[in-house]
Amino acid sequence: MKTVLATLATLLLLVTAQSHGHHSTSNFDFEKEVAVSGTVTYMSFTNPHSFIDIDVIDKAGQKSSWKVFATSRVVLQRYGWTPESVKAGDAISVTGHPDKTKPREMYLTKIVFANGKTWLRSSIDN
Amino acid sequence: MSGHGRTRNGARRNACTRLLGVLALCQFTCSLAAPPDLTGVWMPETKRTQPFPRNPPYTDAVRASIAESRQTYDEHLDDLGRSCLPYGMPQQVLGTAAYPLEIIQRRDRITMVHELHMAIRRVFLDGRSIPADARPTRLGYSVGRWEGNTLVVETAALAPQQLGTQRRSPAMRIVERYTLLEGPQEPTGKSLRLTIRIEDPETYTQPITLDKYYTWGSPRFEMGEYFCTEDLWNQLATGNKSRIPWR
Repeated sequence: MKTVLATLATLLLLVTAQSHGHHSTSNFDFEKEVAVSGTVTYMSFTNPHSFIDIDVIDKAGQKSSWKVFATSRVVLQRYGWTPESVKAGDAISVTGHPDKTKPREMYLTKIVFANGKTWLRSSIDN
Repeated sequence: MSGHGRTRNGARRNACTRLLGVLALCQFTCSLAAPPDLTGVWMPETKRTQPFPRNPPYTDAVRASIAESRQTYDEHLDDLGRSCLPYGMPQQVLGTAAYPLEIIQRRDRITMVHELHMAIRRVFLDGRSIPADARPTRLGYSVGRWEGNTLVVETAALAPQQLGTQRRSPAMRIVERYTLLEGPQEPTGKSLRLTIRIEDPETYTQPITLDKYYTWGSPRFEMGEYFCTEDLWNQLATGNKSRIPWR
């Protein structure tokens, strides 16, 4: 049974990887959403994908580091981002699909930039 | 002017009129025969595009090989995305993510520039055949012809691939048919329907055929730059050691 499940999981991973053409996003739970606010510590505004590291302070004053996966620089730029959109030190709010196994990682669906403007993943055509 | 001169001038005028008539007719018939100009930027469309089958008709040998590869799956070796190595054909044209395709059309050659991986395909329309000794590549060797309004592209000389479900044997042949669709029913006035037929008797027991659509993207979209290792370089440049999630 374990082998069957492992095989099915690998098959799903491979099929998903194929449908996206490059990197798999099957590690994210597209049925769930999570939202946090914090301070940017690193922004990789890059191809093949971008990611944002942010420090989040919870109600108890505890700091945790989050990693936010976003699509490629070339696509983000076509849909309104600039290299200045997210910088280290910025206070931002993000919403996304959580990673299935890594509790502080997500796939970005919405961001409120430091300048107060909102951007939605759904603004991308496909 | 003599009567003889008038006759000669009249004959010249008649000859000129006839020549102009012939030229106009030629222009008319030539324009009827001219293929559509596909030059411009096209964005993949998800809505009408048929996905690659979830259960492709693999041959028994390939099915067994895939099962075996699952036991030895190494994400660093078997997931080409991690190394930024493009899958090649047919995957290069099957994706529907928001990466446009630019077509540059000339009478004797069509160049297809895919933003994703900045992959370039050259389709020769000068009547040549695919050379028997063409060096196998990931994108293959492509020749094309016009059948009415449809551009037909045949691709072979593909380098084999044996990774996970990404299978390709040297016997693979791909036929793509690009047809221009125009009218108010198309999302941006005109679309491109690609019917792709993938035949590889060493991989599939029967050909796989599916439709993919592109919508006309000019001038809303411009081609961008996609270098797949910027994330690695950015870390070298900034000295940041943050883990890259997809590497």
